[in-house]
Amino acid sequence: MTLLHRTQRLTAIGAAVLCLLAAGGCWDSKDVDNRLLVGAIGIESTKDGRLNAWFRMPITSSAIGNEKDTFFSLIQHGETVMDAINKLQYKLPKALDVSSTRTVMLSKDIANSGLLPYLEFAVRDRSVPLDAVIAIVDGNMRSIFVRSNPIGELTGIYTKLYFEPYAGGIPRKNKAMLWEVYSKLLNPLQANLIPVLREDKRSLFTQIGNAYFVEDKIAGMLTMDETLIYEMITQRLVHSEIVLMSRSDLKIVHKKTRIKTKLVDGKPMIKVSIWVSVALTDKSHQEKNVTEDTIKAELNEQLQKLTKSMLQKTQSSGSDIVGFGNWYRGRLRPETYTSWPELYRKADIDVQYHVRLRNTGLEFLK
Amino acid sequence: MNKTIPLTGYEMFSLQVLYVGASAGFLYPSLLINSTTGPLWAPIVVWALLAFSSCFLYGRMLLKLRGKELVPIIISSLGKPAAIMLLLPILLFVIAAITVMLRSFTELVTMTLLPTTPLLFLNGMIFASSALAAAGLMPIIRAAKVIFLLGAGTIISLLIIGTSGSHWELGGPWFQMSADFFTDGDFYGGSFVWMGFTYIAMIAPFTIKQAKLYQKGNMIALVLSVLMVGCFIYIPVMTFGREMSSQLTFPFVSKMDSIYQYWIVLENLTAIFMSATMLCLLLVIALKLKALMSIMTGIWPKVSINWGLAVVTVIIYIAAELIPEWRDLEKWVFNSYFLRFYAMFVFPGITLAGLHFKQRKAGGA
Repeated sequence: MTLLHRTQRLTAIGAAVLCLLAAGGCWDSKDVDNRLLVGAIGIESTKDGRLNAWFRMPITSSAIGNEKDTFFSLIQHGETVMDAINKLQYKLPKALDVSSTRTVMLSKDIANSGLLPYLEFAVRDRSVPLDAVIAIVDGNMRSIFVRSNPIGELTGIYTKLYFEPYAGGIPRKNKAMLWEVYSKLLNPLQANLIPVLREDKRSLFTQIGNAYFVEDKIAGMLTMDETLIYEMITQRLVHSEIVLMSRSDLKIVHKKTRIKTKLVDGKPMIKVSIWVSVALTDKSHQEKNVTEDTIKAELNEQLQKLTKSMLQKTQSSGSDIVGFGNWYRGRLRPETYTSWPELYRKADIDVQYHVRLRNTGLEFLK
Repeated sequence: MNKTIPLTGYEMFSLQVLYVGASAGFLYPSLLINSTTGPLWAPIVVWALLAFSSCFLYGRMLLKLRGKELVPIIISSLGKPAAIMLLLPILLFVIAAITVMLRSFTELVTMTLLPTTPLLFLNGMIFASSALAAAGLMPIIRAAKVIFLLGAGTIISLLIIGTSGSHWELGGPWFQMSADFFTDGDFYGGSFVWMGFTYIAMIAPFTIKQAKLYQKGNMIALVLSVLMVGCFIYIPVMTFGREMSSQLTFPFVSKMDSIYQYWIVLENLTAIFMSATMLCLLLVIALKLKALMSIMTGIWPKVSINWGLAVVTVIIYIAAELIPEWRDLEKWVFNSYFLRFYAMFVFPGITLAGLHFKQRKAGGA
């Protein structure tokens, strides 16, 4: 064997040993059995200017002693969320892992005083997933965190499933993710619309509406029906949604939206055209004159009424939840973007609905 | 080792695309987004035009090599002292470029995936690239062809997936032109993305046919590069808006974090993107090390390739370790743009002129 071959063999052996060393594990590894995976975080402000952070963690099946408890909840007082997470570690034998958090709930007090300081940690440190759902809790959030979920899904996950279109999510619920909320907090041309929950005696919580924001503070609330209009304009209505009317109940199965914008003498002129395709699910048996035309006219009237109230609320507070301002990025100078809420207040917004009754279900409408 | 194996156009195309895959996805988007308040496509187009002209210049220069490698030709044409003067800035530039590329990627890994893994370990990835560079040109090329399909293919797939949840209106302004980026350091700091072809020119001998293939392969790759760079920048902007994107250190990485599609089985797209980028990066660092050794052995023929490579690798590894803060890295990226301009235009310009006069003189004699 020549010297060259011997050197090559030694190098190969050295490289193999190095690979073995690398295979031994990495610095960041923590077995799943040694972690407490946080499903939901709740943040509420306290009178001393600090916060209480709630954590709800599912207990893995291997760790369950008796089958009664499927989750574990803790509350921690702290200066910031990270401080609370750190302090909570004093009480826990396992590593607290917030990287799997599905939902972050914020108290209404926080929404009133400003969201931004409470969310920055999640984006800056990449600690909480950017696709975690954000919700405001009106009232006490204690029961949401400490009571068992009567429906029995995995603890923590249900809060996300509640909003997910593939599970219990319907358009009116308006799923708002962390990155969406954070980007709108920084975008002067668009405001946030975040679901508001309240504890419920039977099902843990229920949704009472969606809060619209000015900057990072809550400015008011849309009803669930008004939220439907927001979903239609922003083309977020991906699945069907039921609309109840006096003569019939309809299922919206498809929609398309076109937005045209102009700036005339410093006044935004916005024209929204929405094509709504609906299917009849139920018709009133008390009303005799139920025809396709009357159904369409009534739906149009109802949608116009909801649009008017939705726009009245948001325009009066300068909260552009749809993000019409983004269409003006090329027409306004970037340094004047901050004046958009004022422009939005006086904007002329015309919303037209084109209703198509796609079918009447498996029965003819006579 | 066969030094005369010709590079095909496809191989050069793959190398250039891998270079963009390795360099454009993490540091570059935030530099470009912060460089202007006007349309983002304007600085991209300016850089693309500069890259096309530089590539053309390199192509013309390589036409003069006539089957030989670049560095020996420069030395024989301009004389050793002049050649050293011409090549030393390139040498310094390549060493610095590898150091910054390595450290910025490992820093990204620390910020996003492995916060407690020591940089001492992560920076060790340079040894894999060094081993590939030591194996020679053809192993690099063969690896490039595999990684092109694997790494670049994954990145392109992620770019397509990344378009979900993005909105055109957030990408504006589209037409309100502004030339403010010309006075912004970030614009010049981002020049590193547009120069993969400069390394390719230094690693192999070029016949006239290959020089033409170089131009063709790299020009086509640059077209794809422009599209990839456009996606790396516009996808996060059209998702998060200009305001949030400009505040993020790695906008495209955050975009990968934000993707949530029910039909995507894999949950952590960020890790997939980082792995694909790492594959591209391993190859590109090997390419740069190979270019570095071509220059060194061209100037000092007695230098052993393996030992020289080992020394350079250790120097870069230590230099990457010694960078104390992320801000220092950014400062270097901003302040070293003159070296990149030198590599893109001054070096090929002087070399082309030198070779032109030398060959004309030889023809006339």
